[in-house]
Amino acid sequence: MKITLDTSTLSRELFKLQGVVNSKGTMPILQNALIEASDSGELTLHATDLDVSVTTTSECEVSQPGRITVRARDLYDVVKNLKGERVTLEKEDNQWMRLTSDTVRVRFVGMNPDEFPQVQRADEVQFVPLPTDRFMRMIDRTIFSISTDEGRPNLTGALFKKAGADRISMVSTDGHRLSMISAPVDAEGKQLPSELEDGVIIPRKGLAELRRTVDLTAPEISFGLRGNNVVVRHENTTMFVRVIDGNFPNFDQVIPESKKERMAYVDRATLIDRIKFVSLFSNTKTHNVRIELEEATCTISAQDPDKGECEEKVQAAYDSETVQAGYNYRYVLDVLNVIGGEQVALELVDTLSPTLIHELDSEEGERSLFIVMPMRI
Amino acid sequence: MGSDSDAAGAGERHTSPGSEEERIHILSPELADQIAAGEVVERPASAVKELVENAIDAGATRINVEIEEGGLKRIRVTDDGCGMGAADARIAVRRHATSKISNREDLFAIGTLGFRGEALPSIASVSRFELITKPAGRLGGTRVVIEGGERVSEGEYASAPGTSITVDDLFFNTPARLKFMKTRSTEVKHVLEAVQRLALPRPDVAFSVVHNGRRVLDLPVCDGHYARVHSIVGRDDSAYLYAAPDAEQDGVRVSGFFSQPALTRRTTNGIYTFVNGRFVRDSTILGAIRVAYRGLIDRGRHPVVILFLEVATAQVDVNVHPMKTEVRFHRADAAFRAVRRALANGLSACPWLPRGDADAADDGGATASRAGDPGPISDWSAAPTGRPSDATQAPRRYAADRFSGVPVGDSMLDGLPSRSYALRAGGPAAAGEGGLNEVHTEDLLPETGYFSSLVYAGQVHSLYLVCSDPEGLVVVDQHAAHERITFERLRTVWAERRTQQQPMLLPEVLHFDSLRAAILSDNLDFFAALGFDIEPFGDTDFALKAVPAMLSGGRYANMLTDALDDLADTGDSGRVDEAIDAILSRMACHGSVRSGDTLSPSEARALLEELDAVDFGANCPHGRPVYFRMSLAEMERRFDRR
Ligand SMILES: Nc1ncnc2c1ncn2[C@@H]1O[C@H](COP(=O)(O)OP(=O)(O)OP(=O)(O)O)[C@@H](O)[C@H]1O
Ligand SMILES: [Mg+2]
Repeated sequence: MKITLDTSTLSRELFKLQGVVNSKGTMPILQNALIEASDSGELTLHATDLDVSVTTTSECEVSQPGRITVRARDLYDVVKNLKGERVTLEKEDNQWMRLTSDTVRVRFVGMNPDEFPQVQRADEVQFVPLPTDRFMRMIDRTIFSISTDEGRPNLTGALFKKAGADRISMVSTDGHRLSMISAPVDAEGKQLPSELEDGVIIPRKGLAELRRTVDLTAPEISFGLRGNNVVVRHENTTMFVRVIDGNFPNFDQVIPESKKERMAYVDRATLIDRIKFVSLFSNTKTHNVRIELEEATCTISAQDPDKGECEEKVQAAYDSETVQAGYNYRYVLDVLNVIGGEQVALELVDTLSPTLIHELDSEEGERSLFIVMPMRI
Repeated sequence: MGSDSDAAGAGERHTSPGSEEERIHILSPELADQIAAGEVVERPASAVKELVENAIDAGATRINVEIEEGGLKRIRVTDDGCGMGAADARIAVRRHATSKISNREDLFAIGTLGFRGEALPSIASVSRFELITKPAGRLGGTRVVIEGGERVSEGEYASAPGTSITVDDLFFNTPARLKFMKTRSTEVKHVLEAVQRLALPRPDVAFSVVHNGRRVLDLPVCDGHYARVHSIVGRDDSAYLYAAPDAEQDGVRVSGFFSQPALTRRTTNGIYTFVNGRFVRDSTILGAIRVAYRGLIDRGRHPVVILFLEVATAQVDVNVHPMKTEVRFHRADAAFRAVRRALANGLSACPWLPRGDADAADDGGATASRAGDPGPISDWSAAPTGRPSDATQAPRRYAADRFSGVPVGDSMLDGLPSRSYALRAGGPAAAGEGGLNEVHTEDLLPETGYFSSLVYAGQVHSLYLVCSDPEGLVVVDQHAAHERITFERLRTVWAERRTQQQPMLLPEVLHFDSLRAAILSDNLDFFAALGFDIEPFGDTDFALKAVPAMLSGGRYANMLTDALDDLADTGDSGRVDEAIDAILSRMACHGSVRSGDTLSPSEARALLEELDAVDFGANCPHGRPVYFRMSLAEMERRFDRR
């Protein structure tokens, strides 16, 4: 193999692999990037941690097609520091790879490319387009409440599921709180993959990687399913994310019925600010605050036997009966911080029932709802 | 029958040409002397073990164990085995009376679990003992009652075919022994453990254990080893188990199951090894297991392994230890190699890894078998990764790297020193000598907010947080730090009983094996005091409905499992308060950020801030340092700047 291309292109593409290369792990080959050059002048870079795989393609000058695999991090560290505009990669004996650029000459220890896990192909995937910003909003609104408890593997990802005709939803829960968003999808007449009827669970790692690498300036991504992978394509990059095998819990039954008249409308920025202020008096270990809704007022308070207590009243559009509940304020702030809109609607059912938080003024057709289980204080 | 209405004394003869066939005889004193002697009954579980062994030797297909008060009040073992005739029943309770061997040669080819003729007399001498037995096809049965070794009565007795032995008031005549008994729940745990060990190699026999009227173990006859292993190890753990490819070396055959390296335990109690169906603890086998897992699991952790070794009876001596839990292989090297080979082959195939090709992984990847209940044998055998045949031919290409030592050392371009850099080695003990200033909080830390005041430089190797203070460099071990914080929280809750609870929106279902489930049931109050709201449903399932608010976001099932294991070791005796710290520290480990977790700068800073709340006067949960500091002066010295 021998190829030459722009240093900046190689650096940009290698960056996209960095999140999945395994820095320690038991399989050394997974620290590598697989580099493939085809007759047609196409360079494919590939990395995988077996759960998430990234493939990018770009153009290059191919003097000799072939494959090679070297440590991805090392290669990236070298390439991003090159001064020369062009860089040449060339395979040597015994899986070594030589890199030359301007005055620089580097030789990397490589491995046998046949040992690299088989690269997955996206050829037969039926892709459905989705605006990039919409996809990002869906991830943002759910990723924070994904469980980190590997003892509950089915909660360590977000449920990606069809939600009625031409809508798609994303749901996550860590057992104490739940976030869900649904949004319209324009399948351009094509069917959504049938697996999405029941939904697939996309692991947090995959979502985080998507959020990190997707080019936000590109107007649109497209997604599809292949085997037990979700495939997401944006520009020249394809990402395979192995979905979590398991059933997402049936959460419908724990969501209280929402009633318009119970909603309290509060200025979101004020609420965030005041909760942070009051939380100075919450216990540093339990993060307790209390929220009380009474006519036209939302009272936030916290107390800790070691510190004292603190209370502040915020204006609210509310005219139902007085209710109150205790919370881990971080759970509340997590929601308030990811949603948009000037105002937010709080819906406290009672002290012990799950509380609903509604995002108002969502983007066109999107709907998100957040549920937080109160704390017993 | 019924012809031997009163035959007291008939049993005195070694054999007697009576009206019925007699199988049991008293061993000659010369032969009896060659049998490893020693204490047979040291606790209820050892009596249960002996009685169940006898039932298995008698060809039973269903064995019921009932115990009361941990077995100290009553043990009853009932089987549907061959039973004993009247004369046999009377002689069976005498020392050195056995039907299982008769001459010296037999001693070297033992195919039964029992062979000493010791168990029944030993048990009968320290309890109120009742034997009721009847061979199938006979009309009448026999009852023999013995109290503290003295025969009280014997005679005809109507009963079902098979044998039922009741042992009441164990150790009533040996008060010193009785004093050593642990708590009821500890004894139950040992009884369950004993029965499980006997049940593992015998899926063809049904076992049950009832404690104080409550069924604590139920093992129906099942089809093949895996189903039995599954029901004993528990659904969660068995999802991490894979069949080991069969291995053979010089007459030692090995088969069984092994855990992927992700599943480890603190003790070796997940290791079950059997030689010709007998549970043994053998250093050769344990050594081979350790070697096979070397480098794959952390030191101090142990895998879950269930191995069945088959050896010609002439090739293994079981007459080694009075408890019959040790064996001596004539070819220990063969046993070692066979075990190591079976495990190494299984492990190197990495059956838990998804295959390189996505579609192949679809139906057999680790996640598939982990999430799903392996269920009955038919389902299970459909999962290709678990089958021995498959394990041997599984793709080797991932594993090859690990075992063939492909040279991928630290890259020449690695900017950072490798993980073994000298700083890490400087624990508190090495402080003075290595020249590293191990800092003691009291000396150097300003009054408040020391950790929050640090300038955070970054995270290295997803393990350490590197920071600086005005006069030096501070390195924090992120896992130790978080563990310390969680521990502190737990101790506060416990000490102040000041519990804020964070209920679950979606309760977590916890499955435990019957041992842990029994301990949990007995200790629900303890966990409630900590703020866990746990509701039993079914025998071994529990719903976790709320957790202490301080622990929100931890790994609850892991925390509870380790706490249960600690409780099992402690019992619920007066030592609990002493052990609380140990239990809490173990739980803290699972509430914590782990080594290897990548932390964002804000997460790292939050961790540092929380460290300020920790009272460093107390000892660390695991005695490991949380951080160390190196002064600028010290650095200058190291760089020969002065
Ligand atoms: N449940 C049973 N059913 C049928 N026969 C039994 C039963 N229990 C004991 N026996 C008979 O009584 C004999 C004596 O039992 P005991 O357990 O004392 O000795 P053992 O099993 O021969 O040797 P060991 O002391 O090693 O267990 C046995 O050899 C067996 O013939
Ligand atoms: Mg016996």
